[in-house]
Amino acid sequence: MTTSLGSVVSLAARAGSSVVRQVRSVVDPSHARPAGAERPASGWLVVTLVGEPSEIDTDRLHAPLAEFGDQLEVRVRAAPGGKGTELGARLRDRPSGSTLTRLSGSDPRADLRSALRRAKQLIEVGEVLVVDPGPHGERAPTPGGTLLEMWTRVAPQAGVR
Amino acid sequence: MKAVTWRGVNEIGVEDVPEPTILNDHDVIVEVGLSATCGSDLHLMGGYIPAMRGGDVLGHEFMGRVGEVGPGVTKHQVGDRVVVVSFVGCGKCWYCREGLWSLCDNGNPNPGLTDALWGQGIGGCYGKFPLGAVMNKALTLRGAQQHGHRYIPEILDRMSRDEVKTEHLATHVMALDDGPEGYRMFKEKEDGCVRAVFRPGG
Repeated sequence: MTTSLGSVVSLAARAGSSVVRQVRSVVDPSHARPAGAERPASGWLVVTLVGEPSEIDTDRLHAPLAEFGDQLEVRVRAAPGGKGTELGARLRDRPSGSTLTRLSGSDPRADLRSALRRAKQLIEVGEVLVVDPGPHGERAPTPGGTLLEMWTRVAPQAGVR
Repeated sequence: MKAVTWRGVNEIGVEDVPEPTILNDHDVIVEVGLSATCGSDLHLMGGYIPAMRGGDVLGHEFMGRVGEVGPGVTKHQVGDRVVVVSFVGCGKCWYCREGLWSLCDNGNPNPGLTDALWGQGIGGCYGKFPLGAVMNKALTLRGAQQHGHRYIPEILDRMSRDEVKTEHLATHVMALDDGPEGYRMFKEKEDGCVRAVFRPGG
């Protein structure tokens, strides 16, 4: 029952996020505006960080983001409601993938999504959380287990946007 | 070490599992003295959570002594008595600083799916904790669970002054080997069972 409920929720979430994107492109078309000459840039991926915008030095980004070099465009601004700082990043010459590729972590921005999440943890905590390997009892190979392992592998890169 | 594990729908076992190791600088390893059943475990037991796998260790409400600390730990040292709240809180993000521990931004290692479902990754938890609790209660925001870290100091303080009594909650204290029976009694509310509490030491 929960599985079917999850599927419904998932479908609703995908449909909802698609509608949100359409509305946003009308209200604020800047996220789809080309950054380079001909090819459109990927949309902004953003994380909210604790602290002031002045604490983020875009010339000295943390390693996960610095690895992208000139491919990366970075934006820093105050988060609404006094909730810290928004750090946004997008790839200059790569379009966004489809909903399916984004959810499966195989779109062109998959590595950036992961890098942004790791950078946030490095800035706020000083390390990137690791949870595996954790102790567990005997595992029997099952289709569900295989799916779960596949998902766990792609999850750090996956997302809606 | 010995652990109570989920083997399948309404099937609980006791197994030998590998010893835990320090993975993060801020990890501590707790030698569990007592571990309680939680209502959330019933979602796991009943097979409502697709992410469950045979061999998953049960129990996310526990207390004990610190047996090992990571190099980044400054608050605790080996031998400290601790009560553990199941939510992973980094202590540094905006939510943790506001005392909203169960909304921690940095505790979920697999945020992609819940990003899709709820727009943002929900908080992470120790051990197996049911994502299903969020689904089953039809909550649509992150976690929406109790920020336990915030209240523990006050509760411990009141317990020390004998203002809060908890004995009536732990109705059945038993050995870890009796885990399957304890979980069954907890589920069936047999013999007036409010909570089964397990003692790994016997």
